[in-house]
Amino acid sequence: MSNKNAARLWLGLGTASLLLLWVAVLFRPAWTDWAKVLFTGAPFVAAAIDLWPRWRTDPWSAVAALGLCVLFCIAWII
Amino acid sequence: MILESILAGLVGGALGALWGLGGGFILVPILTLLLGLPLSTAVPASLVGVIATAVGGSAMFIREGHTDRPLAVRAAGISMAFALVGARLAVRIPSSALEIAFALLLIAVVAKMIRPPANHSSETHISSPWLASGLFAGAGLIAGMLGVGGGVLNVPALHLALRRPMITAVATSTLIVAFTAAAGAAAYAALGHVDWSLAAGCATGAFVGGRIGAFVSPRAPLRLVRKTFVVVLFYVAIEMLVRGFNLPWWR
Repeated sequence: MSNKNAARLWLGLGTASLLLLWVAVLFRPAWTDWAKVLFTGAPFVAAAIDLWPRWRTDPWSAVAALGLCVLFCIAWII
Repeated sequence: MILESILAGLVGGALGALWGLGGGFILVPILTLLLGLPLSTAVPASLVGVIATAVGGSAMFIREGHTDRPLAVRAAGISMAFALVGARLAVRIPSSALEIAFALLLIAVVAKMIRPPANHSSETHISSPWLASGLFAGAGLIAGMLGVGGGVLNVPALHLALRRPMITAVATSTLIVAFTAAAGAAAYAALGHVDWSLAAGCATGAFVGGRIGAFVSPRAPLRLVRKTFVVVLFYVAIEMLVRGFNLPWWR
């Protein structure tokens, strides 16, 4: 992914997840907990989307990005 | 409290970006010393604020092509694991001990700022992945325990131990901070220690404040900014020490 598209992805996911967090905090819909998970998980989703396409040329980075997602899940579960 | 948290995030994010830090160093003292919140509430809210600042900053650095994203995800693995440990430790450690630890960290940052900048020639670079790993682990630990980003250790790890240019070190550190703060915030959230309305306010303020700080930074008088930074952080460190040791004669 080009730098420009990656920057858009990071900023877009960050802004969208922050807006969802506000909706969750103010109106407390049924998906409130998921909004919190999405906000804290936005950097990991962005990294996975950004780096996974590199798995042919740079497999370790792609695996590391997925590894971060696993660590994030552990942070929420334990 | 939402309005106060937005203002706190705004000031923390703006001053953090102006002074080249993540914002946690400013946000935690504002929440504890000015808004009177306990450290156990301020640290998770600050981490959520740091996520917003770091994501916004990372987007800017990635666009400019300064960020080494593959290196960031590898380093973040170490940093995140220790952030989880730090968050777990922080809920077991007394608040006074955390305040003293935060004050000592601030004094270390002030000492680093007062010292004249070293001329890092290639001979002074150590090129040690093990040292870098240790610094990333330390950064994760202080991030999880004290609600700061950990950039104060990430940048030396990347610049001195891994021989990355300074701008790449700062940009890559910002991305690592986003992952570390997110892991720490998730760990606190799983334990039910996050006040989400406070945290959302801090995140919004920090996101906007970070952009204002980044805009003002190149135009601000550098020496004045540096001197103000040292004075404010030193004062905050003393206040934290007084609170930590519960010294009655100060007030």
